[in-house]
Amino acid sequence: MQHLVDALRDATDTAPPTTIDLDNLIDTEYRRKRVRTGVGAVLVTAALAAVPLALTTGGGATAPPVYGAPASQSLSPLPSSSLVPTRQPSNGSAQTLSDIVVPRVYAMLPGATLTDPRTTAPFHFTGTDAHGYNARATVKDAAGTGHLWFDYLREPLPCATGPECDHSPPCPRVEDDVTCTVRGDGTKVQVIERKTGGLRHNQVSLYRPDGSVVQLIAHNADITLDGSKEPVITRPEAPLTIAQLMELADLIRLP
Amino acid sequence: MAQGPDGYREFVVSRIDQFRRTAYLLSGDWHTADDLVSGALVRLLRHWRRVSAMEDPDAYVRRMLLRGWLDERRRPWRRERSTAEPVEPRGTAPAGHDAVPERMALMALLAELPPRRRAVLVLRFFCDLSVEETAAELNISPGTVKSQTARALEALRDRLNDKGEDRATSR
Repeated sequence: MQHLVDALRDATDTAPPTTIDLDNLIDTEYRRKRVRTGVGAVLVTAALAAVPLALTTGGGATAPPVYGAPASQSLSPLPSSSLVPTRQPSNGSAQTLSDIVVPRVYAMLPGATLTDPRTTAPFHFTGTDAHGYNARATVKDAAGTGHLWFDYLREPLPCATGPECDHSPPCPRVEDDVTCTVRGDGTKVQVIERKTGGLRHNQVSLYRPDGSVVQLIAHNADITLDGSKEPVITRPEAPLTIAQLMELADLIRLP
Repeated sequence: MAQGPDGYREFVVSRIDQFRRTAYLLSGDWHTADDLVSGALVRLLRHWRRVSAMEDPDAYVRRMLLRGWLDERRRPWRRERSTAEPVEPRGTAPAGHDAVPERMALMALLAELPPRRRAVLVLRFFCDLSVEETAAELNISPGTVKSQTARALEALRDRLNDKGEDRATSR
């Protein structure tokens, strides 16, 4: 019997290095959790939106503004380190992205204040090549409060298995609110314009041939990053349109 | 045990080698083992708050590994068998001890056992679980564990004898 015990131990004593990336696994799972929570919030809000929100908007001549959830995993496959506080301080590349993008966003939103909901610092990019760059903003202006969610993966994240490893969507993809086209240079452009019972979720994702991914999302609600609180709807439309998101997405690029 | 992400990370880092080895003995190859462990770790993370409060979180992961592996075995494409030679990682066998062929022989013998019988052997003799603990993990009775263990050991002995005779006659 002891021989069998020893033999079983011996059989495993030359284990190769693992392919499991614990950081990626945790990040991906937190992202899924956020998506699930967001979708749940959408369903609840959509069910409630029909009557009560119409009252708050004076009869609903315009569709009531409602939080638009991030798209499902298959529609927004960009792994994100967004739920984990940024692990490293901003470096030169993050600053470069901020210098390129932030002034343009302010120009698109005159009079608005943008603060990072994680730190209450001014809107800016943080991150590294290894973990990707991101910027979050709570937007406040005369129209109300909204939210911006920018991600940029300069290098594809290491990925073992699973659908989340496919960072590039099938294209062309045409659904009710999702389109995907391929540009001449090979970049896949995915656009999601989600309106569910007045919900607003504008999203533009670029999947470039070099493996980098840009994903920009604008919500028409004040949301918590972990989806722990019900979104508060205060404005009829997302702060940035699809066209504006597209212009910004094209700016986001590092040499 | 800490219920937050730090507690999860600490637990996984300290146990991942053992989980991988268990999964390897069940599945017979390291790639499948890593897939099984990944799946189990994702489920563990989803339920970490509850599992971390358990007396034996390892048992939860082992059950996830077993369930994942048994489910995998039921899938049709698993009936296909790879003919590629398994790649042995570079390791240093003890001097005077032909470890690699012995290891390969053991894994080949384990592969011939029915899944549950193999699981019983791994849990009893690698994870060092008692009959009762093994029964609980596999959701079978202690009597079944005993009979499965006896049959598995008997099968291993028979096959080892067969191979010994084959080697003797081929000389």
